[in-house]
Amino acid sequence: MPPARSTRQRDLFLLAGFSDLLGAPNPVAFYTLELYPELIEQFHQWHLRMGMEHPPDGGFRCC
Amino acid sequence: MLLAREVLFFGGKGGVGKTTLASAFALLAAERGQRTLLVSTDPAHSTGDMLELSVGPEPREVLSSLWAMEIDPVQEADRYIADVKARIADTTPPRLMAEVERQIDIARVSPGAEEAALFERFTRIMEEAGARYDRLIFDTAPLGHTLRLLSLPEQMATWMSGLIGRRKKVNALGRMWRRVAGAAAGDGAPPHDRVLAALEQRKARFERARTVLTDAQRSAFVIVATPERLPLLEAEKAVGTLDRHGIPVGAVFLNRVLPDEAAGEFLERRREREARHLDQAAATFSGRTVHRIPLQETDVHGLAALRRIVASLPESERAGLS
Repeated sequence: MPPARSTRQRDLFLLAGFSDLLGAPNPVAFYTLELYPELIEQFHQWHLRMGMEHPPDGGFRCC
Repeated sequence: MLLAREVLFFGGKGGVGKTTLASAFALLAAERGQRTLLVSTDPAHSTGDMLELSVGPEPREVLSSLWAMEIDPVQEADRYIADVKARIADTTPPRLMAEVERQIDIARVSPGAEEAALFERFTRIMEEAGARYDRLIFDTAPLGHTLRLLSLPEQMATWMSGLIGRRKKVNALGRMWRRVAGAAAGDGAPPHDRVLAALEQRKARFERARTVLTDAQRSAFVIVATPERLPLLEAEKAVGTLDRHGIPVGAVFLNRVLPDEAAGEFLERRREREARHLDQAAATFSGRTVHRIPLQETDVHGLAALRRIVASLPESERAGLS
């Protein structure tokens, strides 16, 4: 596991990328589509870290 | 003089004559010998029809010193999405590929996608035009959309610098951690520099576009309205929004004003109604440059009709024309 500080950074990154899925409008999502592979990978690690074996419904189908 | 600027944008409610005025100014610039590119982002593709010339998605010299192009929002969005997919193809782990493509396809059909792709193209045209053309004239889509489009660099700069900054931090922390933990830390994925570079370039391009858009010496927005209630309301709203974004408004054109020679009882009643709207417009846009263009006897269609519009432009705009 990476250090705790890095984990927090990653969660922040995930939140930024996911803001539109969470209902916070993201005006520039269309211009950051190149980050999707990164976001989906981060999301995958996040749900495992949160103790969920499978991704929650409605989000990315990462596994 | 509006044509003292490198870039002009024409905006206004649909059907008020944006294409007519944008084409007239493009023709005026070209006849002055300025290499001019006229870009239509209007999905209705009225520029080719106006000029009675075939205009396509790439710049084409339609008259001496005048190039024209028409951008199709659907094609632009498809191309943008294809480019994104190609850019990430070799850095995306195969197990994620199907889901990544699915998400990108969802983004393609989301509201605003075509408009966003249009804006991306728009900024590239602005970058490339500098070397090839003296003047760039955008006959834009109706105002509501255009204005949201123009405010994007502002929102984008804030949001993306946050995201990219964060990502750099993540990369830096990852590298630090790998140095400390050594090889035991395992498969530290290399930072996807190419993807990052593409994002940085896009953001920088948007910021440069914004710099031009907010510089009154280099660009101006021209608002077109007819002397009627709704077009004037929309023009007023547009001017307000442009002001808030610090985008200079070069002039307001009131198009299809009844000419003095139009006579008859019916037209007199129309003229009374129109006078009220013109008074209202004078009050709303006081302190701004407001020009009137008379209603023409026939549809403005083809070069001869367009030249009549050029001839009806104010003297100050036509200065320097032989």
